[in-house]
Amino acid sequence: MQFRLPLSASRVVEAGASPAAAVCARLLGDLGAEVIKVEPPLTEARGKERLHIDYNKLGLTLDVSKEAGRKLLLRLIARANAVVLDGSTPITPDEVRATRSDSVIARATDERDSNDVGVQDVIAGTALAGGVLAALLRHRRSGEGALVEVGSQESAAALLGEDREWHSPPGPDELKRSAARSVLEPVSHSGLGLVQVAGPTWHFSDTPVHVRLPAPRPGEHNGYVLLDLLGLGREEAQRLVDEGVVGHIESEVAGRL
Amino acid sequence: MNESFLDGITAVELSRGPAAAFCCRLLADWGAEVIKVEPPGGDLLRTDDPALFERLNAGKKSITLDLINAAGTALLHDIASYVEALVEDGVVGLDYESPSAESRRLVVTSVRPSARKSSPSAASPVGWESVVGLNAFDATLAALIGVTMTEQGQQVVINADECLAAVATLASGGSRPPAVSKPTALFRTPLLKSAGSIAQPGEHNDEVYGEMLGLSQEELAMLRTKGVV
Repeated sequence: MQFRLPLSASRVVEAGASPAAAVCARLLGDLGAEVIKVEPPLTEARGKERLHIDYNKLGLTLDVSKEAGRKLLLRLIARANAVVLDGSTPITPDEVRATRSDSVIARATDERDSNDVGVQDVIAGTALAGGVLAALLRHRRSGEGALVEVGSQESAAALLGEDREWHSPPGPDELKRSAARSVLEPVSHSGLGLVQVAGPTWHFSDTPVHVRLPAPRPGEHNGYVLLDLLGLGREEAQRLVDEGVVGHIESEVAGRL
Repeated sequence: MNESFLDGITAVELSRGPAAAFCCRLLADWGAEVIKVEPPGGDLLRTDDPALFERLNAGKKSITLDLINAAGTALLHDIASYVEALVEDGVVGLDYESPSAESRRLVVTSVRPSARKSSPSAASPVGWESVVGLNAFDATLAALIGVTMTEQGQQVVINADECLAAVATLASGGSRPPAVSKPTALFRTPLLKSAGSIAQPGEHNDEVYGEMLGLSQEELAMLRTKGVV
């Protein structure tokens, strides 16, 4: 019997550049959600640090500073169960709710866009994912949407206590290394070849979770999102590319334009 | 008025360490009913570190149960058939590798504590455990969402060492959280259920054994006499 991951019926839009938002969205992707990561066009490939927090996602490039880009993002959000924002996303929770009243809105209140992933980002992203899961569970029951918010620094302070110093995992180095090895999963990345990433650490007895997709190249799935999901016509999609609202559409899909 | 996020979810907690207890504290914060199962003498942390006990256990109900005793284990299985989730960290006397037939929808969250003999990170040993507990919280909710789709519960295992190794790998940037001067909360979201008080050991025995399981006062009295509850 084919198993279904817990979030296999859910779509999540990640529309924030902060590491905490990325961690949150990846965890939801691990659980089976279709996660669409929205980045500005002309984004350079991110650093290797990002490979650990961007897998199990599709990539869309969209210039949300342009009005046409914002509108497209809202159209996409209307087709998603949850959206992950951060402090720099030029879309407010009210705008999301006006688009889709039962959206589960997650917001990491940070504004930093950084390749430097800190412990506070991992903690905040994990907490935010928990909030999204609680909200999705309620949505199944009552149909209500929700707004869930965390701040990275606050979350880390709340968990790590007064000291807040993050030591590398305590214990003998050998144990630390073997523990690290046990969480690494190989994944084939276009451009980088085979890379080792820290896979999901939850062991579900019936619905095991794994690295299913490598971190996407920016805009790798523009064709899928614009043509298949949003159902744009070929002329409209090409116009958006020409106007710089969306990045290029990759060749195998571009053939359909 | 919106309903609490986890209205209708009841979780049973069998914990020795802080990670599983913190997982259940989060479930309680988000509106679940959490029944903490303590040995008849009460959780050792109550006397060893009252402040930490309070931080980990506010808002939970408490029942006492002797899990060394076969009658106690049988009662636990009865309780498990009435609840949505069971969170455990390897308590002696518990054999719960997979949900039984009568609790097909049960989610079992199993925290496997660190293999480290001791924590040299004296500065914030609980901080580490909390990160593991947070991961267990997410996993429990994910499995509960799965139940809404498949009508099937499952077990999810969170291994503390793996969990921390993954965090350390992700956070390769290595930056530290800047100092925050004011007291903080994990979530900014206002949770609809305020953190409750600290229950006395066994404070909710009558409610759980009587109302949930339907035991009579006489049966309960006998269990007390035998030291099972």
